[in-house]
Amino acid sequence: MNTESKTVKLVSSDNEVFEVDTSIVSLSETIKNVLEDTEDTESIPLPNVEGRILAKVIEYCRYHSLLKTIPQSEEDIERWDREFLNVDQPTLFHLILAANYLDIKSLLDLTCKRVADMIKGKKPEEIRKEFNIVNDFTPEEEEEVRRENAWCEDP
Amino acid sequence: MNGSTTTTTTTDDLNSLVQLLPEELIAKVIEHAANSNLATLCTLRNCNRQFRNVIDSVLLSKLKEVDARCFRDRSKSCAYSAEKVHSLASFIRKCVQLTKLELTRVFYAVDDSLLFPIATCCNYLKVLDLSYCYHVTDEGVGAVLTLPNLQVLTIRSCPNITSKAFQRCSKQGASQSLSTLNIEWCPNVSYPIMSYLIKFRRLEYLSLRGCESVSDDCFRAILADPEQKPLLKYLDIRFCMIGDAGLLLIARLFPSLDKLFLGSKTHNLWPCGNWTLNGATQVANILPHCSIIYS
Repeated sequence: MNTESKTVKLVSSDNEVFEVDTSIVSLSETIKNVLEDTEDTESIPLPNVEGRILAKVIEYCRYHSLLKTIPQSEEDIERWDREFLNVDQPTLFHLILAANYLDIKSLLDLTCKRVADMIKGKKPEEIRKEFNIVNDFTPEEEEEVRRENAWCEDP
Repeated sequence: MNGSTTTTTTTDDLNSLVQLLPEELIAKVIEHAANSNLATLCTLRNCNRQFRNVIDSVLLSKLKEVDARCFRDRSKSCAYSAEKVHSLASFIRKCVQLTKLELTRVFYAVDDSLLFPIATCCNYLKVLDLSYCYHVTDEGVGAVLTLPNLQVLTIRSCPNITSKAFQRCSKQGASQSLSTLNIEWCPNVSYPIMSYLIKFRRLEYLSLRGCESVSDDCFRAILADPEQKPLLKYLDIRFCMIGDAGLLLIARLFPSLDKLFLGSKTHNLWPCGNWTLNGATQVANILPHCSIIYS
């Protein structure tokens, strides 16, 4: 199916409707496959993606598909990506899930790296604090993990 | 975007964020965060059960290559201890798909009790580097030589290693996959080392650099051996005690040699063997296709 110069309606889990050019959202393998499989699709329900997250995903797809026709420097792209990801943690995690569900590899990599950057260089207790992770180890398990890591622990 | 939704997020919501991600995505995040550094990976195992389980079951179990750089930024304390060896062994047991393992930078956590589990758990291992792992002995090296797929083994500056390390394997049926063997600066490797090494049929690249007890006798011992010799292409005998007689033996034993490295007598302060230019010229005449490199 020719996905050029057509629009499709994406319907979020909270029933927000986004009408977008198919060439833009074809960055998503999931949507691309639906468009290829079903002729004359007018709307695609996306029950796993909230409207506010879908809006962000479309913003990402719009910018990155524009790069095909209006190339930009690596620096500019990185700057844009950085600003795009200047969001709170819940949004960031929902973006990861959306990128995974919609199969947008570049967005998935970008968002996972962003979380990874928040982890890098931190001690376990700092990571737990950053992400509100509960330490669910029993004292015995904690001791076991400590023993298992003895080869790389600082004195 | 609805800003109010995100600003009113409760602690409960935040608690669920990591749990929100499926295992493969947590693994992806952790993989990026660790950036191939195993020490960081181990630090992340300390966070909670979920992280530990994902690292063990998803990341370590599919890990293929652990090169020396994977151990960077660590080892502030290089003090050897049995606890460190035990812990590294427990870690490596989880890496069942390993094909490459370079232990140089964790030499302080390597001894035979680490090499034994490697020999039994890492059946896919092709490349093993034990440089500077000075606690390993013949027993441990003998064990890893039984690895069925081992192609490249490097043992450098391991003073406890003698020719006996290769004896057991040569008796039980030497590895038919080993093609590259670097035994360097191991002062106690001596006669009859070559009698054992010729059992490795696929051996093409052999370095005995700096093994100061390797002398002409090591090569003389295999001259009469009816065993078919491996088709060596590369031989490094810099800083061994080889003389002209040894050079002539090498030329006859290994007609496929492409490169022969000899320690240059011009600038080196280290003993370079008893060979003379006359002996090297004779080798060049017997093996005209072989490059003799003096360094």
